[in-house]
Amino acid sequence: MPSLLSASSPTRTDKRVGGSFRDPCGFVFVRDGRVLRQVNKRYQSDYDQLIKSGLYDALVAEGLLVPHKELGVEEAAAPDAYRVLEPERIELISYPYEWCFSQLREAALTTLRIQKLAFERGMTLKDASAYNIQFRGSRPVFIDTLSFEKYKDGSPWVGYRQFCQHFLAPLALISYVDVRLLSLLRTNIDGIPLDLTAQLLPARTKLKPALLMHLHLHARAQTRNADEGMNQNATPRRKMNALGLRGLFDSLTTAIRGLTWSPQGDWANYYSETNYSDDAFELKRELVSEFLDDARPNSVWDLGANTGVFSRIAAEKGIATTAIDFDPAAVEANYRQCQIEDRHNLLPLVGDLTNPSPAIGWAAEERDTLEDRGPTDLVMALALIHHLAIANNVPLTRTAEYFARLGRHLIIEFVPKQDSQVQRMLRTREDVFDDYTQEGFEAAFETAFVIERQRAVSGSERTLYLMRRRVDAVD
Amino acid sequence: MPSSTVDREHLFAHVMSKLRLLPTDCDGYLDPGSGSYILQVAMAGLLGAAFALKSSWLSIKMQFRAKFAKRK
Repeated sequence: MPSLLSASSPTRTDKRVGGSFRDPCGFVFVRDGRVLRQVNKRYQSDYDQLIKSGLYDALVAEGLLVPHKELGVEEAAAPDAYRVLEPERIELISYPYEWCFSQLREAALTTLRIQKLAFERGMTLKDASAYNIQFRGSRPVFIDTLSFEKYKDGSPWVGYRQFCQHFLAPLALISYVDVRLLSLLRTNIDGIPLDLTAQLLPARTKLKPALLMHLHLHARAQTRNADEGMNQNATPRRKMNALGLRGLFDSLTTAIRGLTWSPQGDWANYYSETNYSDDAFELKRELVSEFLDDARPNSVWDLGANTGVFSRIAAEKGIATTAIDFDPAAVEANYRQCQIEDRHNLLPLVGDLTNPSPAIGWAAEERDTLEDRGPTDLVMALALIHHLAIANNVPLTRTAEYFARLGRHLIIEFVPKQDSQVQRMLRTREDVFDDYTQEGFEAAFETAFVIERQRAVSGSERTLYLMRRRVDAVD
Repeated sequence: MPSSTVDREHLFAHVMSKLRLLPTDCDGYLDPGSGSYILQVAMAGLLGAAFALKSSWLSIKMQFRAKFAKRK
């Protein structure tokens, strides 16, 4: 991570946030655990317009923009500061390639809503990056206060290309082709290229006027004019009238609203598929609740959370909870349920533990790994260990080491070989897992954790553990 | 690339330039993309007209609904 010395105090060391360097109007930095945003003097008139026009208040009142406190310029981390802001903290920064379909769709609609409100007050979004949206539970919120600029009459929307690449392209690809194409956002940090999108989409999408215009024709226009940015001449540009811009925002909104996705098969499976009797399931819920009361974490990452049944136990205790699962359908079900419940402290995310989110972007510092966004107070790994150890051949000690890097406490369920789910996994392959026993599990995890409590889940073959990370388990 | 394709691309750029559809400056930090810029301006009339029609239709529908609700 790059760091810089504070302008006001040469002894104070601040850390610039890795992804905050493209816009010369300011940057985000971390000081003593506080996240601050410096507004540079070149952004002064736009910032004043944001505040004086009432746009900031309107957006904050609607919960669309993260609120901030203004601090004095003596808090600046570099010269040329106009303001220093302290935005309300987001519990966990997440990225578009970790969202389910509905999260990305909500983020897109929020961006368009903000753009419309800004336009009514003589301003516009100067970018439309999906990374500008974060989630407070089920609610999307815009975090880049410096994205607003005064609208110049006749200008088109500068963020149009980015909006289509970051939102419309992935949503259309999921809706018409396959949910797994969301991972293209991980390999394309500025959104999915439109020429690739147009190639992957079925021909019938050309019959949808909005998709024809914003994706297919857009891709062709980009290819044809790829070099024109270098070839600027003195010809005055043709104007874009206000009605045309309103039409553009409306057309994009209609396009996004028209895209839907539901997993194949029955939704109900995602709510009811368990390997427990009702009594054993209830006991497991009680034990998880008890263990959470013992550990008293402020934050929980529930790994392999499925639809978030156990994540909700933590969330209902007021704990900031992140529910991570590799199945986009389970995460979709969880998020839709969060919307119904209007959850403010439960964030469902898509994540594959066997291939977690990497550090990406410039110098691999723009987007952090999951681990770099931690550690969390407590990791939950329920009905997960057999998937890692047997389905993915991850040795138990390696899992223990990784979990110790992710969290200070651990609630983990051991699923023995006698369990019907493990039996099913072993049915089609050779059992090469000699160490996969309860004793082997405890020995492996005691290299990184201290076992504080353990209880058999009667009515099942399984055992639930509460563990505390050893002081020397991580550097 | 075949020369005929290059010629066609240059001709397209030339026509767009004459039609004053190409961006000439960029105040923001983000490159809006020439193709994206051109497409927006080219479609502005159509998008604006569609939006105006839709808004009028919605307004007429609302008025009818309001009248119908009063009668009930």
